[in-house]
Amino acid sequence: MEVSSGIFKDRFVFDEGYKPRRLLVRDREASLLTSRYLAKLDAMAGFTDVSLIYGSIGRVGIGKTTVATYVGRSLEEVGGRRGFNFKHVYINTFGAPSLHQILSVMVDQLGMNISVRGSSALEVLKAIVDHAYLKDMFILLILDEFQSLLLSPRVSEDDLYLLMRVYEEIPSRDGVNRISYLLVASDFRVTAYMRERIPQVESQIGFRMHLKPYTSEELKVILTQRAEEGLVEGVWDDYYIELISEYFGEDKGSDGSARKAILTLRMAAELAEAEGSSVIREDHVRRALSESALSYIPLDELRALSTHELLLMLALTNVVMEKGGWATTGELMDRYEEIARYYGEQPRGHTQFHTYIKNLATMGLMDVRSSGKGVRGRTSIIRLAPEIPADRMREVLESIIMDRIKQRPVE
Amino acid sequence: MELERLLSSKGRVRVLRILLREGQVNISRLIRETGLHHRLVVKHLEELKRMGLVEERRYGRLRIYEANLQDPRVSALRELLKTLESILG
Repeated sequence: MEVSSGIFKDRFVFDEGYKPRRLLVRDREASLLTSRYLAKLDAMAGFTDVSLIYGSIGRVGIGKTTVATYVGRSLEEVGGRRGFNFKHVYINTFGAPSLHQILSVMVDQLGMNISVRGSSALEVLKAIVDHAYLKDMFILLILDEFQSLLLSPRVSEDDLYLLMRVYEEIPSRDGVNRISYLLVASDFRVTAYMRERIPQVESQIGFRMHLKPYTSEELKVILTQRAEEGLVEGVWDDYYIELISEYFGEDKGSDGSARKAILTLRMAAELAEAEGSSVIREDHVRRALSESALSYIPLDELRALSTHELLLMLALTNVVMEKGGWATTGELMDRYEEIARYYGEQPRGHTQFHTYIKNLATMGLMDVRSSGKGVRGRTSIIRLAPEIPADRMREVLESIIMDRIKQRPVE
Repeated sequence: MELERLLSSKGRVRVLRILLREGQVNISRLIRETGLHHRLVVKHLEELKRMGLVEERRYGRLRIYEANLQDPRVSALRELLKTLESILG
């Protein structure tokens, strides 16, 4: 057990290897797959099925592995309740790029207690098939990053066929097939590769599931679950979860990666912890966002702004640093006027003020949204774009403004 | 089965204990864990096989030994060893 830090309840919840007990997003996909495999089991027609989960290239953290291992675990649970001895074996083929290595991991995870060194793949596979027969065990073999196995020069077509059509080569003693496959790939071309190298397996795929990157709503659910499980109650706030979710949500133009979002939440919590703060504050979140996700201060864009736009940005940055969250138009207007006077500028009127806000929002420097329920009347609420760390922004803005004002001829 | 014969050899008991604990093992693991010589382990295994306590499965060069848990003698031995181990610590 961790020594309680005041922020973390359970640090492991934020680990990449952590699998939540309950899947809140992608649960439909997972139960669909689970029931497919279960139907096969119930039919007793043997248990050979090949399914494929895939995402688009470069999309990491969109739940492929999570869904796959979740399916494996629920099969063990549900299957077990129905009296099946069920085991899932998870192999990331990046780390095991040859048939022999894959089999060695299988032997290990099945608890067979044998060393495969010096034995041929065929012999090991025979031992596995026989082990499954003797223990009347059904195995779901999850091959993650399957495309890398297809592209590996160390794996021949024969190897792939041997692994994935085991029972053609090695029939079980009672004729019941006990091994099924769940392929996971992070490249949609995986089926094309398969058609090229192992067309017979490709044509056997019964079910294909394409996973899309997470939307910000989905990320919010995921992050909330992790926060509830891993953070001490009261140290985190929904607003920050929202901030991170929106930053990484696919619908907001990011890559929809839950992995990145979770890491960011963890980093924010760690920053808070390192500072000895009793709660996670907005600046922790912004710093975590800026560090984890290559945040940038768009210097060129800032330099191209008019002085009053800069003053307005500075006003917003100050409000954000003081109270965090969203500022109302009124608050921002007041602060802007104050700052403009401080720098010796005559504040612009309402019309101009709103034009500036519109511009800055279009440039992605601030987010604007209608206040909605809970606020009297209708106003716009404004915040700094989430990827921008407010404290750094303030430094940059102040230095640009000072430069501008210095350059002006003394009257 | 002669009980004396089974329990008269330290090595044989050691091999049996590992088999009962692990369920199934291959010979290199047995050698490693017992610290006995290969030839000796093979001899004990042959003996145990002859008594019907252990089964051997071969897959080419791969050989797996498994305690024959269906045999009531094996389960009795397992209980006995377990009890003794907990008493002796």
